[in-house]
Amino acid sequence: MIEALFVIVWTWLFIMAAYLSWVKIVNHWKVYLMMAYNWLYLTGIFVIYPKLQGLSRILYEYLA
Amino acid sequence: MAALSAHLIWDLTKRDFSERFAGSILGAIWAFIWPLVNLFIYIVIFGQFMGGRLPGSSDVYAYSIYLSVGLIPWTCFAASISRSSTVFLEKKHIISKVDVSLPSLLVFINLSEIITFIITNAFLFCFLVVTNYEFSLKLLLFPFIFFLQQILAFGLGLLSATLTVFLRDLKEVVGIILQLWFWFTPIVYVSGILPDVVRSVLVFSPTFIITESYHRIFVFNDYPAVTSLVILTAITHVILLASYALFRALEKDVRDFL
Repeated sequence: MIEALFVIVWTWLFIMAAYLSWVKIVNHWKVYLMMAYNWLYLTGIFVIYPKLQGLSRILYEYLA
Repeated sequence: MAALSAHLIWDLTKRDFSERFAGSILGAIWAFIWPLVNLFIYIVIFGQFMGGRLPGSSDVYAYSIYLSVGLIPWTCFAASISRSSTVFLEKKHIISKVDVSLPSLLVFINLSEIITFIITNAFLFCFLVVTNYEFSLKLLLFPFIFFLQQILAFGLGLLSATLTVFLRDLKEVVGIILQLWFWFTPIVYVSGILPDVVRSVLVFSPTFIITESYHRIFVFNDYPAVTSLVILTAITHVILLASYALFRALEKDVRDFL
């Protein structure tokens, strides 16, 4: 479940950051900024998500 | 540059879908029949009639799943690139009349192909449920790998769309490259059958990494290779950035040429 929670929080965080940047920045450079956000977002998902499995197992055992 | 209009993108996507089946009695129902037929071919013809089996697996449906999870995203990827390569030429009647943002034309093609992909995948997931497939949380990574794949398709599509305006032969070259690319990606075969020399080169292919990731998640119940995916994410965004920068540099000429 931690994995799913991470995906939701991580996605929400980047949607907010992207939305605020898109609204505040008028210059066309914001397109490049969106690309950078997107790169960070996906990299974070691919790196962090598999690492959460161990944490999820520890928490599950603790709660059990 | 004209602003990216969400309304315009959605309107073009809907029109693209309705135009595809315009005049037919069943209309949009064809959008469901085609994926169903394709899935039938992958699962029944290749998996059962031709007796395709995965090496080391006793599951009779393993090859069908292996084939489907590679072929369905590939179809979306290839169609997105090949259709994008000619979109500026095909939509020049709109471009010349309305101050439309050119990248939005590629977004609608990607969206249209993603809708077909989602319909096909819905049928695939029904098949997985019926065959008592063991779903795991690793499957949550699937949409993100697919997202990465479509960003790559968008970047390459934007590059080919920009260049095809000046060099019309490029659309044929794109078709040939995609055909070769398909057969150099382990979609219908397992990568283990490739000679070591070929395999050592193909591991650098983006679609190789993406397809292997799908297979690991769906068939082998394993996490994809993180390092490869992280490097691919960086390369994909560099391709997107370079394509967009080239498009920006040539945008005025593109409009003049059309």
